[in-house]
Amino acid sequence: MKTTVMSNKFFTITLIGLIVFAGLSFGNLPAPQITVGVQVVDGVTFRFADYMAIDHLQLAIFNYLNTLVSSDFQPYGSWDGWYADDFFGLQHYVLAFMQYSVSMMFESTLGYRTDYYRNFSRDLIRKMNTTEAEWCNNSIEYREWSNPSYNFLDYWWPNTTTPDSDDLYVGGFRGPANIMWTGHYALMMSLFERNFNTGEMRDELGWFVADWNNSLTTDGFGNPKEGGIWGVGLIPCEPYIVFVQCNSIPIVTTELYDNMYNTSYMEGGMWEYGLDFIEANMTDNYGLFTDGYYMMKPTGFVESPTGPDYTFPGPSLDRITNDGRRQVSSYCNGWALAFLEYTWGGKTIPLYPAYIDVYGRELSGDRMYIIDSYNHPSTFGTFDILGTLFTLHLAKQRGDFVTRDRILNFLWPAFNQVWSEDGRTMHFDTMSLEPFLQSAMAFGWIWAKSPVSIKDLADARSPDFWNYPYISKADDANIWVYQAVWDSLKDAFILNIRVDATATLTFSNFVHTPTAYSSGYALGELVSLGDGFRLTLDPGVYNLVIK
Amino acid sequence: MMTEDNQMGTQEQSKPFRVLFRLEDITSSFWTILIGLIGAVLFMAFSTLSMPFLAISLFKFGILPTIVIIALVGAFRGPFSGFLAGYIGVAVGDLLLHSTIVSFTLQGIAYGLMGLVVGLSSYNFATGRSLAKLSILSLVGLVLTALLLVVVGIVVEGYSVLVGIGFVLLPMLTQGIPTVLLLVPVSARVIHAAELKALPTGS
Repeated sequence: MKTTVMSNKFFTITLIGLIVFAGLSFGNLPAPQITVGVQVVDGVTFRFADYMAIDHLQLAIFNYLNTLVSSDFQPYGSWDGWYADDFFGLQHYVLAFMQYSVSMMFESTLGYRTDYYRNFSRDLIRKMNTTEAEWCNNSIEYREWSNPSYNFLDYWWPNTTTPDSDDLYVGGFRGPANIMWTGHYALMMSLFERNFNTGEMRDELGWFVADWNNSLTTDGFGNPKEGGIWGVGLIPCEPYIVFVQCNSIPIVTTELYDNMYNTSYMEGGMWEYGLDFIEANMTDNYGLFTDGYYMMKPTGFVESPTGPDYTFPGPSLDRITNDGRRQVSSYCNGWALAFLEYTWGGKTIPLYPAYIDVYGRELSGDRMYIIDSYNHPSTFGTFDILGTLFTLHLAKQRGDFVTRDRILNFLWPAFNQVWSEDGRTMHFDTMSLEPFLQSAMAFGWIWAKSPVSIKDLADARSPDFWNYPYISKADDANIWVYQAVWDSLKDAFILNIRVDATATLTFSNFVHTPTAYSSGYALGELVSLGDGFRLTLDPGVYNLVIK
Repeated sequence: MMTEDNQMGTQEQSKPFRVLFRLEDITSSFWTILIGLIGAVLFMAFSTLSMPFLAISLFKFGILPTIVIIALVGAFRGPFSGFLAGYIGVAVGDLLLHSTIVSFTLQGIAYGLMGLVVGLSSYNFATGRSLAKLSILSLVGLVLTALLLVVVGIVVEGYSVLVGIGFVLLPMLTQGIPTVLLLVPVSARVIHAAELKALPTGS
């Protein structure tokens, strides 16, 4: 047969060509799958597939993100590898959604709480909070708010041009009219406290929630007023326009704050007026959300002679069709439907099918993307990609993994995977398309694939949780933790781990000296130390039950 | 008015069609349909694989094993079988693997077109000339398929021209062209050799 096959020059040439071509294009293989076994220890069955897990790729991506975020690699006001110089106004969103994504990852292995994850989360918050005083034009304060091109600083409510003593100054970076930063910053802090419970950010977080409550239920000076300072029950950005999506962030924050600290802002109706306002004024014919509502004419607003006729207050209008249609966008809906689900599931969950139907576009059975606006579906640009990214998480949260995977297949296979030499970090190379996307495409993978969504994170951990055994110290640079959770029903710690080089892990909160089991057989007792119990592992892959 | 001569003439003209489409009799039709269906199953199976690739700037290079299946089924069993492999493979694959039917299965027709084009000619897989013909017809089929996919996407699905070119046409061509020029003739030759070994008297 070999002779028969090879006795043909054309065949031989094409075969050589095929081998050369296949060799040159051989890359971007799937990362190794994790193994999830079944063990029986003392008559109790442990099925690792029943516990939440994160995969090798997510961990490699996190290690890459750590090189962008950690103060071990660059100071808080440095942005090497972020490629954000042309995207000043968007940079803080990248920081915020990175925090939400990694928080989902942390929650997936909630028994692994060493300095590695905690320091990352804290450093990310500090990058978000870089001030002009310390970091000048490299600060987020400058990039997001006080940049002269934005004209946000000299802003008073309700009089923007001749402020008098009755007007309220709302032009501050941390002030009541910058929910596009304060909301994200506070949610980042609340997720930090939820995940690590250090208490270090509680006071600052509490200040923001109280300030929002003041903005939403009073005239800003503390006198009760329905609809709050602006009369819409929502907090503006930019600072004269309110968005559903931007307000969904402080709503989640308020829910989580109430859950963590037993306050009752939500029960007190802090957001009720705003949600009613959205229902009445910020929805389209499908019941989906429209993108923006002006409470006043923006400072410096110049009406285009060829643009739509605005009325103030009134909805933001589509500037492309120019016929008075409301501005609609997939990024607004993909974001808001996910983040409002915890509070407003009765409204948002039934809207999901309509959202996919209206905004989804199918390229093939295995690929689809989300258009920016159904007012002009045949265009494609940054906001289509943005809507596509937001829908990933929404689809995951709704359990629609078919749609989630089809969207993943649209964007990610276009980029090469770049692994570090030691195999510890990986990112998708977006330099040929848009460098700024590089970090977003990295955490976007975690955003899409981790088994936890923002709705899950709105619940606080139970008080008992903090007494469960967990990994408090480890040689983080030598290990890959795929599963790590205390099973409180079976009184055992589940650990699925890959070890690159001999590593030690310290467990806290065990009330007795635990034993590690692998394949149902005891590997031995952990070593008792002053601050916990130590487990030393040689290189390899382990499914361990520790009890 | 239909005459006897006309009727006979119709029968004469239909014979090449049946031969060409390998639907001469019940047995032949059965095998043609069966092989088309087997091709469709293989198409679905290969479509689930994560294939290696290399992106250079905005161009993505690699091998598409799915279109090899369509071309080979068309080449070995004729246009109808090739069309079935593509059409059923896409339509049923979309339904089973992704719970959707895209553009009223017009995409399946686009893929089936490739098998149809390749199957319109006959091949002697022992000769380089014939293998080259297979490559060229596969290329023609691929280009038609890619263009039809984009047209269907823009007209029926309503996605943007930019998406059609950047996310459908370009990847299809940069992966498809090396596949049809290299992997299709190599695979055909290997299968033919295996066929000869299994069936020494030929088929």
